[in-house]
This record gives sequence, structure tokens and C-alpha cells, in this order.
Amino acid sequence: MFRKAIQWLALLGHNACLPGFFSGRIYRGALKSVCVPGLNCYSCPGAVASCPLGALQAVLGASRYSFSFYVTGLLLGFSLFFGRFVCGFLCPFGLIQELLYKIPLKIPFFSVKTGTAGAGAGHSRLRCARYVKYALLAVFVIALPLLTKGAAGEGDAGKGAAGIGGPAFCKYICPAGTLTAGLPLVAANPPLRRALGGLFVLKCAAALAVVLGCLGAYRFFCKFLCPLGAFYGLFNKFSLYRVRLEKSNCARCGACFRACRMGVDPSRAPDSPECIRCGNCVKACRFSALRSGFLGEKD
Amino acid sequence: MTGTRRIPGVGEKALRAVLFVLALAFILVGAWRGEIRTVFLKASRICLECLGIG
Repeated sequence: MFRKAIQWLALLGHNACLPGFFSGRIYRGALKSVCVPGLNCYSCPGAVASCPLGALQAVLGASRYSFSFYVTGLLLGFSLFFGRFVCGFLCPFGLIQELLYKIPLKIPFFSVKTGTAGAGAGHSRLRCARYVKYALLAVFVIALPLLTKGAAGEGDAGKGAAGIGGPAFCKYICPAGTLTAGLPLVAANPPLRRALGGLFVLKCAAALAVVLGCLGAYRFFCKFLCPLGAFYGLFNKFSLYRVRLEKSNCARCGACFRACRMGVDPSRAPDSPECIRCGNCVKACRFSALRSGFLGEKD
Repeated sequence: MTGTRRIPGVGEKALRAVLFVLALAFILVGAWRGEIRTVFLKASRICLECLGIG
């Protein structure tokens, strides 16, 4: 309940410009210079700040830069404070996925056994698929914006020589952009509707596939596709927010593993890059072997 | 301290501190290079790529 309240507050905080949803325009204030920690498209009509993935691609795709110190520094800072706590508590698209998963409609092809007893079996079959998000981070977020940057001016992600736009992840994959920016803006803005074409159909198809996946698997996008979660996960071992295991209290009952909807076994790997720090394992442990929070050495 | 809970060692804490300093330095260098303006210019206009138009 506490986590859900934080998630809703984060969703509203990320998208506090509510009039934008009715006017079909986006907020253009100074806060757009700053990146939020979660995945929230800056073209969402309510967005008051920048998406870190979009910002990273925009800088990498600009002709005068080959590395983004600013966005990398922000991401590194978020990672060191929170790790994937961002995914579990602060990411608006994480909450959207959890709401989708509550819909009692499971498409067989997209369903993955998850969340309750047997989670391990369901996840082991798809364990390799979890590496897709790292490939997307490397190729679509970093490499393609760098390789396809045009000679356009400052701030322009540009068009590459092959006609491929700079922000490749935003352009071809990001379902958050399609669902929270594309559809609301197209619905409220007639000139944008007239500009729709094949790319919009492609992006809608990708978003639909993710939605169907989210109906069948808990946080389908987080598990398999999210480059931001991939980055934060790398720092779960170093972040100030941690899950700690007191091995002397652990009865090896497996309750934490069964409670974990991300397929992590906290009794073996409390710092797994897949752990979104939701705290389900801590609640499930009857032996006080697990604790979570901003834990210092004396905790 | 009971049990075998893993406690952050000196090395881990030092690495975290170094990374924090690095993150702060990156942000300052990025600001100095004008990256904040690039981010603002991109984010303050409707991103046609994000929408699936451009």
C-alpha cells in the first residue's frame, strides 16, 4: 500500500501539467532541462521534466557531442542512490505495467508464469530474454544515435545518412512514448493526426505487443526490454538503497522466492540486477532475514 | 554483528564514493559543455520520433 501510494505520487509528480492532456500541447518550462529518474516521455502532455533515455539519445545524436556527461552523470547519481528502487517505486511506466497486469485478460502466447509458486520455472525458460534489455541499451540508446547522427544543428537529434533518426529507441520501440505521448497528443491535436504514417503504425504495433505482454507477465517491459532498468540494475550492488540478507536468520523456506514477481531468489542474490526493490520478499520473510532501505553499515 | 550478512567493505564504500564524485563531475562538465541546453531544446518541443511521426 505504501509503495502504491509512492508510485501514484511519482506518476502525478512526473506528469503534473494536467492541462496539457486537454490542450494537446506539452509543457515548455525550464524544468525540461532536468531528467527524472523514471521512464516518462518528455512529450507526454503532462510531463514536467525530461526522460533520461530520450535526453541521452538527444545529446548523443547531436552533431557536437559524442558522449553525454550531463545525462550519464544524472543516471549515475540516480543509480548510486536508488539502484532499481526507481523501477519499483518511482517509474510511471512501471505503475502502468502493474495496472495492466491486474486486468484479468491473459493472451496465451504472451503469458509467462510469474508471481506465485512456480515462478522459477516460468522464468528459467525466459532467462536469456532478460539480456535483450542490455542489447537495446547498447544498440538503440547508445550506438544508433551516435552512428546515425546528422549534421543538423544544436539540439537536433538529426537524420542519419540512411534516413534513420537519431533517437532510435524512442523512434522504433519505446511504448511509453507511444502510449503516454503519441496517443494523447494525436487525439488532442488535429495537425499531428494529419502527419501520421507507417512509422506510427509500427510504433503502435510495438506498443500493443508490450501491452499484451504486460497483461500476461508482471512488468513484462521491465523484465525484458527496459534499457533504463538495465542501467540501474548494474548498480544494485552499489546503491545506497539495498536489500540485506541476514543469513543466520534465513531458514531457506523459499517464501521470498515465491513472493518475488521478478523471478529473483533474494536468499541467494539480494543484489540481483533484476530486483526492483519492491519489498515483497521482505514482507514474505517470517524470520526477519531480509531488510530493505537506505541501509548503512550499522543497520 | 551476528550472522554472515554482507557488510560494505572499505573497497565498496570507496568505489561508491568515487562514483558519486564522478557523477557530480560529469553533471558539471555536461553543464559547462552546454548539454543542458541540448536536452531542454529537445524536450521542450514535441518529439516526433517519440510519437511515431518523425
